[in-house]
Amino acid sequence: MRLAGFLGKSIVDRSGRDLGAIHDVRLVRDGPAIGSFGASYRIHSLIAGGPSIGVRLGLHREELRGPWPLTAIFRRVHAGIIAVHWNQIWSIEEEVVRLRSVLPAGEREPGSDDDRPTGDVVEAGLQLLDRQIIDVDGRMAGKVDDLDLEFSDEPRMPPRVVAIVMGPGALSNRIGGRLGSWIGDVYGRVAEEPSPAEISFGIVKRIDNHVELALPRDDLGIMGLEDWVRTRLISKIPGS
Amino acid sequence: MKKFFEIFLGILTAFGGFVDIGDLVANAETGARFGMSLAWVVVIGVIGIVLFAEMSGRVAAISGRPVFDVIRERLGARVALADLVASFLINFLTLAAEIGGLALVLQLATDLNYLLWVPLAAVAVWIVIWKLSFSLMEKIFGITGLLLVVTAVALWRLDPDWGRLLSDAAHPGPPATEKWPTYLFFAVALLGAAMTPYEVFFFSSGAVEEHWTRRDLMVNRANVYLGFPLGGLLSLAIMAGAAVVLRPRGISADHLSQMALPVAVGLGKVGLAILYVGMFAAIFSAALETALSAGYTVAQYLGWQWGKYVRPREASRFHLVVLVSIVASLGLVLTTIDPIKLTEYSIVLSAAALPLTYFPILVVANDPQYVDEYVNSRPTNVVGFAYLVLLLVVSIATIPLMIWTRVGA
Repeated sequence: MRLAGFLGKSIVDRSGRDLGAIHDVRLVRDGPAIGSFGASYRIHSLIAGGPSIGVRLGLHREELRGPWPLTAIFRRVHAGIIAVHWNQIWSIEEEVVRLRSVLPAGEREPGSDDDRPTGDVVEAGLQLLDRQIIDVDGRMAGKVDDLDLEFSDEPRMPPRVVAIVMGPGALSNRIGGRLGSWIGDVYGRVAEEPSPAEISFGIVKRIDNHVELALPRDDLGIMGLEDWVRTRLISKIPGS
Repeated sequence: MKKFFEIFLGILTAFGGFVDIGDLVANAETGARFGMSLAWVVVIGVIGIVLFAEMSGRVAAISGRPVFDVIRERLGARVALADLVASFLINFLTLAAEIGGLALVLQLATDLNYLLWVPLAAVAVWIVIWKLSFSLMEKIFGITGLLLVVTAVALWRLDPDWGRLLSDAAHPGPPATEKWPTYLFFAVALLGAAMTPYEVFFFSSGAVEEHWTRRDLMVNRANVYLGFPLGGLLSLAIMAGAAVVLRPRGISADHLSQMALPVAVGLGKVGLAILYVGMFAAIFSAALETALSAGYTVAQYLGWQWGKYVRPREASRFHLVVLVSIVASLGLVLTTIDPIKLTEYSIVLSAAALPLTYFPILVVANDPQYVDEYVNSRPTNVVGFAYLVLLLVVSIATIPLMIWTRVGA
């Protein structure tokens, strides 16, 4: 399953009460080690409830410094946000994520009392998705179009992030709708390399305002289109 | 000393590169029709672009993220795609307008039909992008654009009734011959001319091209706080020249030749020659900026390598987008569409599209994850929020005004 697959699904508790759509996925870096990256990110909780726009913009966070009318409005709108801990999840279905218990009204962070996130915590939608990927030589190597999740064999263990998914094949899913599937179809027909491409999270070196890799981009098998444009067109122009 | 010189050059570049075909057309037309009664919009537009460019330059210097990276990160893949399509199309119209404008200047200088000059202008723009380094290209044309100071000198030589100009400027509202909707439509056009989105795409990408860091925040501020307002003064000089020379004689400014009249009257042939060179350089610099912005926006949305700090072969897709955009805009101008009309459409639509780029930047300029401690100050946020509201109102009002006034006819 991919991370963006969670976004937009509704959370429903055991009584069938709709708790709102999922806006983001909180990750904590305490999973099993992966490659040279070290400890992997695993899902800690799902952030849901209320409209999504402010979460998408990051306006619900306390650290944002204004402008005042915006932060005031969005903090109010998002006062009802809930963070559902992974251990509360019963099933992940086509349209909804179902919880194993009935959520008492007013409960903000069900199931997380014994497992507060500590250390390296990121909101994946806000801080990882759509970020620029930079390779080891400082060259741009695409965007984080999605993240690939690996589920554990042990019950109740949260899935961990194992790969960055990128390219039109993944982007088309994110765009969604008829346009998204059209882009996916067209690209699927013309592309020579499999799309979407996956880059193991094990070669991620650093996460900042961009995602830095420990390898050069040419070793990743993701530069097909760039190579094609270069060899067929750009390198034929003098002075390239 | 080197730093000082660099800052000084940066200011001159921002100054000389401020005016483009949009500013020339909008300011001359409004001066000829409304006198100085719309001068206040130029002031609002200049303050707006100063605010907008300063935030985007600061975000780029501290976080390394240019405007369209931020748009995608904050609006998500889907909404950002709609934003990209709108921004790209408007930027494309602007590029075509600049290339058409270059050809018009060449027609004025040579008396050869502008359509003959269009392909040459387009090829010249592409060659400069392909060959020249970023900072050289930016400085050569920006600084040559300073020759437009001739518009201010001509105005001074015309010795107008300054008190009258000032009192006109201090009394907003349409003159007796014009209606309110037309007046407001031209207000939108002036705002769009001063605050064109490509300026910010280019400015923030330029910060990355030149590897700005927090040490360059000083350069950012100097460029924006000094260079842009000085450029804005030239806009006002063009407007005042038209108000003094064209308006009393009932001449409208539908052609570049009429827009050049105030300088011709004030300074004669030599002034006119200087004006042509200045216009050519200033419009050329805008053509470079819009052509590069076509590549910047697409590449930044998709994560491709972009920029002139690497060889073209290392940013092939970026250069392909730039090349295709130039060729397509050449095609558009060759349809014999009036470049002045094209300019009017491009600036008005630019104004309508401003919130698409302004809003994400305003949010991120407040986010310590991007700018560390360099978040917006409180006064910046007060003004910044007021502009958000203003730009939203303009954006909603633009299309109805366009239809109502039949594009300012």
